[in-house]
Amino acid sequence: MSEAHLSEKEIQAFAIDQAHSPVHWTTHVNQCITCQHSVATYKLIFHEIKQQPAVAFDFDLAKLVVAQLPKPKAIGSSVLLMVLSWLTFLALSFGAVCYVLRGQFFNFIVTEPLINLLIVISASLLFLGLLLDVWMKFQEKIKVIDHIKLQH
Amino acid sequence: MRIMANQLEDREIVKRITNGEDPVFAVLIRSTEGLVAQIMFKMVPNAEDRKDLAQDVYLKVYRHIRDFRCHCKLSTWVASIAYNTCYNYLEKKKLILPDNLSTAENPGNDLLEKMANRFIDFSTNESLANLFRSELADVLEQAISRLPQVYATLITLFHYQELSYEEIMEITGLPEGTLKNYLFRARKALKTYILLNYKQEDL
Repeated sequence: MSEAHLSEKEIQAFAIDQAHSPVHWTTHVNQCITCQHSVATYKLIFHEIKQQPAVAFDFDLAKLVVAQLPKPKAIGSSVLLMVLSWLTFLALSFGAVCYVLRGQFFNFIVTEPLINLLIVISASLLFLGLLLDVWMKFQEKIKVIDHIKLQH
Repeated sequence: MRIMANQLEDREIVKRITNGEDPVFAVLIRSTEGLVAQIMFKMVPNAEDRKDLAQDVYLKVYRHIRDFRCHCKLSTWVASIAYNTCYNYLEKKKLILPDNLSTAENPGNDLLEKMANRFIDFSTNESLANLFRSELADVLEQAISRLPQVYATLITLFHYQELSYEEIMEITGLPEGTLKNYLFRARKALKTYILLNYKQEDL
């Protein structure tokens, strides 16, 4: 038998995972009453920790928390107003241009339908792109504001 | 529709909560509150404060769940928020117990031998073993409650929840060496306390 006892750290490691301990530890413990007692005491403690009753909250945590969750935000009235204003402005501008150039415009539509179609498609895509850009910038700003609110 | 937590992958849970499915968040709470309770009961002594902090933990989880990158289990991430919330609370209230575990005390080999013999007796006398276990459970509970809160939490996470070192490191943010050292000191303190405080006449 090796004369030196296992250190306290080695005793704990042996008690936790005997199967993967070095062979010379096992050999020593098998022959040393003092180390056997230490190992047995630790095993007893670990066993009893596992037997402790589970603790639990005495209230319905999920119910309390879910009641406090923020409700999904409806699109703000200011955003709606902004979009409607833009649409009105565009419609009025388009109407005004059509009224002023009504003679030439009608001739243009009749004589150059393909070019007219291309202009309408390009203008629509440009408008949608601008709208998307405005919306994304708006979302980014809202996110920054939410983040600042969280930090406080 | 009844949703079972184990049917949902962490990534799917995060996606659905982010999309505003509150019932899924309730499922997440129910599936992780046991682990959160284990941490809170070890770190926060006051029941009212525990109630407030538990709600605070899950509201933080809800606010930040978009930031969860599936680098660990969702339950581990929730537990890390619980641990940090409790730790900040203890620091704020100046309630962190000092690390005053004495390693100089030596219970002596005779007590150790008697305790170990009682453990070996478990297999031969069941009624004696039950009585011994019941008394030991009380002493062990006292011993754990006297540990600094961080040590008691680590003991619970490792020996009761059976989490790996990696998971506990993720939860507590402690480096591996520090974690192992704290666990060693806590186990040794438990052994010393039990051997010195257990009714010697019963041994």
